[in-house]
Amino acid sequence: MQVRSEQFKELSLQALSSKQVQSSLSRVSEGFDLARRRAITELTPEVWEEYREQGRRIKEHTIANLDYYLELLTDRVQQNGGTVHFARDSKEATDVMLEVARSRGVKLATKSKSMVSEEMGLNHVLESNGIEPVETDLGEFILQLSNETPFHLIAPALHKSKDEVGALFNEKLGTRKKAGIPALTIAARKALRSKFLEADMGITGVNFAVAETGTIALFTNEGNGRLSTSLPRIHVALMGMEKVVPTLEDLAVMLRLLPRAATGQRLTSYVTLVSGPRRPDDEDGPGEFHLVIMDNGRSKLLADPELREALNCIRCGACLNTCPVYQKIGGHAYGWVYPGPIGSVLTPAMNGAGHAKDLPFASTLCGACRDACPVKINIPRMLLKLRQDLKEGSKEERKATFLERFGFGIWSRIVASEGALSRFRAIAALAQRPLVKGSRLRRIPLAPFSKWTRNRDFPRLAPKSFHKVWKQKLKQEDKETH
Amino acid sequence: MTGTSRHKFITGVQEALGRRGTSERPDYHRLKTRREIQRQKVVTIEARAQARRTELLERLAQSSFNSGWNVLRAATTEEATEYILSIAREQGARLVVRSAHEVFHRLPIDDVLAEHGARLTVATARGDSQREALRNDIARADIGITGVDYAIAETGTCVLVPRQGVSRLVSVLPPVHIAVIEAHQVYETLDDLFALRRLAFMEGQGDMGSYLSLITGPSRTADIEQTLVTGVHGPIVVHMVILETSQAAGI
Repeated sequence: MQVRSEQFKELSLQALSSKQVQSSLSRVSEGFDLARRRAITELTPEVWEEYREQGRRIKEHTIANLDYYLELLTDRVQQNGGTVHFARDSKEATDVMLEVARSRGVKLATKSKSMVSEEMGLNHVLESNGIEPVETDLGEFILQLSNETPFHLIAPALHKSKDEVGALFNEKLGTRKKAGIPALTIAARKALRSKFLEADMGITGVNFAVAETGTIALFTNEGNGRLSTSLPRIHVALMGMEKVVPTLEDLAVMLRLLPRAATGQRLTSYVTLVSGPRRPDDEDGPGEFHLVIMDNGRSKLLADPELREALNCIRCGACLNTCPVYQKIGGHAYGWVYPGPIGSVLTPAMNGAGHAKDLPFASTLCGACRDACPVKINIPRMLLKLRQDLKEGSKEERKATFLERFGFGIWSRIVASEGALSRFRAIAALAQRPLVKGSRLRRIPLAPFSKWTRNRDFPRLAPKSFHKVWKQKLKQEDKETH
Repeated sequence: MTGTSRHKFITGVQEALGRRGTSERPDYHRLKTRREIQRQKVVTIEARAQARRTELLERLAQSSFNSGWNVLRAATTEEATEYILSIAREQGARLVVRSAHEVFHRLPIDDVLAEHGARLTVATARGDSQREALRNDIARADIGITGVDYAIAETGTCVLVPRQGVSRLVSVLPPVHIAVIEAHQVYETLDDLFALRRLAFMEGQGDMGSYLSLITGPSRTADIEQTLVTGVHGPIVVHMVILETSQAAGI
């Protein structure tokens, strides 16, 4: 998928001015984020903390020994009768897919949701080579019909209203106009069921890969993962190389973290573990199993001790749901596969910072993402690091401007002295008077504040400084005690 | 061959980690577990499940209900059979498929469903020639009935290990799924389940079977306006029948 993150500002403005997008986003906080918080309360926050810590340790350990675990995974998948392919970038990965599909006469492939396949732009490549890919996750199916990209990690069509989906299905599937959400869902079920039964190949992502047993784990609520791994004669699973965990017992920990963080569920409706192709006695299942392990910029993260922990991400979307910025601009503004706070780290780190200069700055650094993350990734710390790299990276930006140096020089003198600060405050309190409307300053016609107030209000200075209030309070108490 | 060679890829990972040469087995507590230790662990798990049987059945029923299962706690096999028949009647079922799980040796649903007038297919193909026919039957069936291999009280989850006689599809293609659970199959947590499967891997010469299905309620989606709808690809309605008498006590 092409990186469009340079257009961050335009894309954000588009999202901000779209009523439909804003109305969809207003559901994120009350939907997913509330569900997540409820699930944690149900489990008790203490137990949740314990699982988070375990999850973080498992991921850290595996990533620090990634070479070993990838070798083990490869050996065990092969022992199970599967084939493992390696791809350094998305081009190599699509080449592998094409070769497997072509050499086996594949015409139709059903797909269960895979973010790695979005990185590859896989659908486009398959189509232009005469292979029909069919997205089977309802959200992804909607996006495929409307030729759009995912808006959210786990609810890809979050931005579309039921009326938009209704009009789309009316046009493409012939459902009646004004169909309700259940009727739309049934229409998708019917359209996709026949595809499942005809497909030659099932393509899935990988939520976790268990090295010791050569197993991949898929989490779905719809059941499309199970159908894609049971009906077609070939199964190809695509994974980013960071998805591996050591043993089944490590997977058990992740099983508790991912659904709760993603949707607030104790467990998704379906969890499917695939260990190679069908065994001779099995009643059904694909005769071939292929695992494609992709790097595509991940080794850049691995090599950077400050960014390595981004590889701990399990793609639950909790950081999106809780982020005040994502809640306003949505997923498309980020311009690549991974939106939200984690996307602001992954996109520049995997594609080169030059492609996504604005993303590390698209954060208030409030820390909500770090607190929501089920594996305790410190996203704000990495955003700061990326900001620093970006600023130090380009010559023209390395030096502060004259105005900055001058302004901050004066400012540092003022705040260093109690007297100066209180005098400055008195002057500022007077100066703000003509600008105050209610409790805020709507506009300050003086650079650089004029830029700040173009889209934001500025709080007015309180009538009394905290310093004064505190002194008076102490005096008061003094009087009362004597 | 397209793509990158294993050697080249792993070398790249090692370079990124600032490491050279062969990948060393890390010092990790779970990797060190030997088969004997794992068996001990499973013995403890079994004992705990046995000791808490009554409590676990209660928890299973509760959490399964919460996850969207229609739950019947059946004191007798007759009660269970009657319930399954009532669902078949309600659905107007013409074609029913079931797995070849052991539990059906003591649950005479085949005869009862035949009396109701439904055709019943047991999902075991003998050879490739019958596979296609079996698959078509499952795809057209009104109800799929399976036993389970484990049930997890913590989450309300049925676990199936597909193999001969246990198709992957019976629990997922028909619009209605009925899972029949025996009391001795109930375990407390997901950790217990994976400890058990890990032992199966260790004792199975490194093979624990091709597939494992965890089912927690009906197929569902909230992809349109975050509105929950059941039955997008899998079953719309799911029933869990818990046989509270163990086989020994039932006789």
